[in-house]
Amino acid sequence: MSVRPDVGLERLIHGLEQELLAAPDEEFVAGARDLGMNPDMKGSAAFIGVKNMSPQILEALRRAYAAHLDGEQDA
Amino acid sequence: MTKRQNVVRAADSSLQPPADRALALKLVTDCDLLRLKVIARLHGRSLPPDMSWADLLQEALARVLDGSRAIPAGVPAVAFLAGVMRSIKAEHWRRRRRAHAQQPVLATEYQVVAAETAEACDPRPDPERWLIAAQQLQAIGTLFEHDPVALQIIAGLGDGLTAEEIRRTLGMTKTDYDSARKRMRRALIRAGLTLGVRQ
Repeated sequence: MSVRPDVGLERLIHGLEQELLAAPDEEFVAGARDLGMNPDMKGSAAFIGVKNMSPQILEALRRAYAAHLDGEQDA
Repeated sequence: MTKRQNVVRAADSSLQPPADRALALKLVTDCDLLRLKVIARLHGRSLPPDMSWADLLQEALARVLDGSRAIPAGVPAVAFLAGVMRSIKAEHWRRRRRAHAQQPVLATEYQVVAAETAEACDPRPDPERWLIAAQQLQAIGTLFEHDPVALQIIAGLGDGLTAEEIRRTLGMTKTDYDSARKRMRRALIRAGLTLGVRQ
């Protein structure tokens, strides 16, 4: 790439965004299924951060649960 | 319905995530949301650390739902929402730069890199943004490390070339080029839907 990283990255993101906008719906459904997710299911992990728990909240809960388990082991 | 029930219903509606409201209004479909998630995670690669891709997506949906960004007639909702995400991102970087008192930059000093991307970059390099961009370019490169054709296409896109220019420069047939694009989309979709906090 012959430009500054920030400029190059924005141009690259724009180009890839156009690819994603043009992609057929089936590619997204297939992508989710490849990852073991079922987008037709209510509460599917495919929608984390979109229409249910945000990844940040999920991570905070994961940490809190891990800390809780550590506390139980120490006791 | 009683007054109390109405209040509860109104409160429920205000607590509903923007994506659920957009679905209820038939502004987007479930599949559109998957597409928007992948696009938001792509934009998330060039966000400052205090903003996540999920914030970016929710903010874009909220602005369209509250009417502060109206979808022009004939423009697909997903393409419009992608544009709103781009402009929120540019706005966030500008605000962040202004907040850095030791590096005051006037809005007029910004130059538009490409009008269609609605992306403003400071003519003077911002060390933080530069570093994030360098790391993310490397991360995107790693995503396609086993696909030399995809890496060449990425370099072309980063240089601002169009699909046709890249194809001509690489001397590829349309079939080979389309096949490489499909592989790239598959990798991007996978990276965009996989579980993870940041990327």
